[in-house]
Amino acid sequence: MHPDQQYIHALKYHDAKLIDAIYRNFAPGIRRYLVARGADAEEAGDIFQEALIDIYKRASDDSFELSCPFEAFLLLVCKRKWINAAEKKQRSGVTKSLDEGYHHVADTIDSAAVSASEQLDRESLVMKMLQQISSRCREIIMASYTQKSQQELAGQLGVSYAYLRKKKSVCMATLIEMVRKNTIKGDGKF
Amino acid sequence: MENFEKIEAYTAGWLSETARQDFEAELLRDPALRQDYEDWLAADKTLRRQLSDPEGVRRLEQLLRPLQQQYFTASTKQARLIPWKKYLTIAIAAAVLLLVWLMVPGGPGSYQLPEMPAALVRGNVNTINQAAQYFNQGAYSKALPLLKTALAADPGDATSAYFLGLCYFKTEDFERALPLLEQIATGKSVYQSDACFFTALAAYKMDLVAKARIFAGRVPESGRYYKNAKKLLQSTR
Repeated sequence: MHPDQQYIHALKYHDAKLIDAIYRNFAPGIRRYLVARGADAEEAGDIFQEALIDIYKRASDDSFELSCPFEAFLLLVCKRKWINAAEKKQRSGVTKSLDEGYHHVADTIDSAAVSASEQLDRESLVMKMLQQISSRCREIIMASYTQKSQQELAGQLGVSYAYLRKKKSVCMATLIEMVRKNTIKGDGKF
Repeated sequence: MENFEKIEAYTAGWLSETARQDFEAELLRDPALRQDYEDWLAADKTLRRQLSDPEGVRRLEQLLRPLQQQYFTASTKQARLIPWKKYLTIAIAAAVLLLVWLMVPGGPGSYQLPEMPAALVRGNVNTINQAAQYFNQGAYSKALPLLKTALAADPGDATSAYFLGLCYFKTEDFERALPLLEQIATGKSVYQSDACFFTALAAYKMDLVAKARIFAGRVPESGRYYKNAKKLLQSTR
């Protein structure tokens, strides 16, 4: 296990002292990196925070183990987020290579870290598509994952249990199809 | 769609033993069903991770919020605890010396800003002309939002980008000024050589001495800020 796994634990268990250390150790560098590429300070902050929350959610899966320094992984996640944000705003920023100013961590990024950050991208896409699906489907899917009893849920939504099951599978099929259509790279698979 | 109904029933454990075995046999035979099944599992895992712990996310956001403000507000250059009393006298002396040095005639700080040209055919004529008027009057904070609008409407407009960079510089928002000016200094517009000097000065203000020297060194002898750049190079030796 990589020694920086402590930061993953810190996020997972809301360890305020170590979370403070994450900001103290990594925020200034990543902020400079993003600002040099066209982000303003607030955008850089939003990206940094979103990246930490994404990593927190990923860390809920006990099998998630850091294979490289935390800073390298965090930088990778922030960089991908900034590319997406800049593309959305059609803003190119200053083009520099990934590791410029970050030679000390760039070499430590391995395929497992890249794969984990790609997984976070895919998860962001699923959540983005969930926001674009019909409101009824969104309601059903979200309630299915936040409520334990599906029978209770059917009652709350004013539908039969059988209808809820069918509707949920239809909504999931729609969501999966939307994700496939919006997956830019690869073969359209998740 | 039919595949997903079967998948939902299978993953939720609603199928009879026979139906479950039939489904598993079909999974082995039918690649399309297998793909749907794998995508379902991936989506299900994602939604579980993303949606099942709203309280945990809320608690984390509460912890992150003050740190965001500390490390990412526009005026925060770098959050660091410094025993300020220890350095107060030195800091005041350094500030006075810097001020004197900056104001020496011919020194790097005694530059004159260029006039911003009015729009002739470029982009949003009214916005740019108004921005030019404010800039040339020295009302940089008023010119700033107009130039931002002009640049957003036409991101390739070097004039808007250069003068926006200068506005940030004059309002002492060096973190925003530097990347904009650097972009112009490394580009091919008519502002390229002048932008090298202001990039150097912005970098210097941010204590990025190496970068300041690099860009000061790029100001050509024929450039209007050559002498200022030379002074900057001399004083950062």
